[in-house]
Amino acid sequence: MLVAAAGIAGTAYGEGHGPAFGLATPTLARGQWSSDTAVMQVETEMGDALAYREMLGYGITEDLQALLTFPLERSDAPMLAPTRGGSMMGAMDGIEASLIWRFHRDATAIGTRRESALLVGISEPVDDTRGDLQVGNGIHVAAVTGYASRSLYWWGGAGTLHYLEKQGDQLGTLYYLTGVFGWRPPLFQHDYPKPDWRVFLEGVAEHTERHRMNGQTMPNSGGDQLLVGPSLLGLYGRWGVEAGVLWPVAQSLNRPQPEERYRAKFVFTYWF
Amino acid sequence: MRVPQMASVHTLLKSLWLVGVTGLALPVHANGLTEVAQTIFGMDCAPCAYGIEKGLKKLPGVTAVRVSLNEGQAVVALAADSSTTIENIRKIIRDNGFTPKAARVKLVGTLTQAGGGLWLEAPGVPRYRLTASNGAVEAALRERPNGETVKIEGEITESAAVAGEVRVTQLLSK
Repeated sequence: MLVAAAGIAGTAYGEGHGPAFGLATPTLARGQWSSDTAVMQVETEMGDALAYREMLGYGITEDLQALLTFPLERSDAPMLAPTRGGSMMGAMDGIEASLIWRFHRDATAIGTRRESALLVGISEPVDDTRGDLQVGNGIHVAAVTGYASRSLYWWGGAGTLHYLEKQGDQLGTLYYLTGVFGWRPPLFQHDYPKPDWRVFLEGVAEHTERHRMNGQTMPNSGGDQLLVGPSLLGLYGRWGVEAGVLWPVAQSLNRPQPEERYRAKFVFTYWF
Repeated sequence: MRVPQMASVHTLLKSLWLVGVTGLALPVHANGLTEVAQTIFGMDCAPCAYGIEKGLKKLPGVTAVRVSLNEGQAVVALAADSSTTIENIRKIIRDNGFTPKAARVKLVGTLTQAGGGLWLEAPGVPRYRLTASNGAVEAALRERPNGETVKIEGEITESAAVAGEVRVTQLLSK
């Protein structure tokens, strides 16, 4: 049986100036709360799936944040190998708690800074099984570095999501790389409190190992893919909206997993 | 008899005017600060500005806040009885994850000259040491009598705290 079926992780990283799919660095203030509500659609050659996710963020300090993400609703469909809809968060259809530590920060000029962060999270699956596979807890570790200014942005990051074995079954480990380039054109360079818009070009590369069932490697799972696409982020005071889409430019999935046609995402963010 | 009466009225009016200018119009603020334009490095987005604006508005005695992303600064106006210090303002900036740099300030306080130095005193803080940005400003400050209430504009570097040094760029009270 095809056990490549997976949920889709949900939301994006919409905190402050983040891209929709790629890793970025956090900006919550000490003691500040945020809420991201996201819907993501993954269209494959065997149908599509829609996932709704919520992410709550809290700034423990200005450089240490806690995140809790959980699915609001999900419609199942044959999906790809394990993936994270927004790289910053969200093991597939699981509840995930994370800490982000911004260990490096260098503000070099007005509106400009370089920074780097580490992300560590653990996830608990909502469903005990995915297909015929028992699903264990997940451990997510990622690192990201980047640059933000009033006109240009870039981030580069890497992460891995490892699932623990459960009753002889184990989902394949996901390794991923993300790259983001952002631009805020002069037309959008109005001052606060006017709306603030920016566009991103995002890329996500994923490699997923094969699943294991009863200790045996499953040949019809795992694979590689590279997705690229644009996203648009609009910020107005305490509100943020973001939309993005990724298309595969290269896919090598062990058959008969369905190939992905696109991922689309919309995120609504509120800062308390 | 008319001339002395006129002189008395003139003296009275002049006295009232002086009281108004030096006393009523220039109340010495608790911390000396009337306005702070705090330069901020690293602030790049609207929610960043929102967080700083929200934090600054919660400080005691803050009457107005304006945050500019393009200028990279927060301008804070303070009431006469405000206990807010420049370090309080800078802490809000740091708590939001950004870096406070030099601040342009307006101060009202009592000007004193002691040991060859110029000082500005306010009741709620240790006195500010004043340096002048140029000879003309220094001369204008030294012309003022000891103990006079003055309003000045100047700059406090990023490393200076409340008891720091103010580089005076302009004597605002005439």
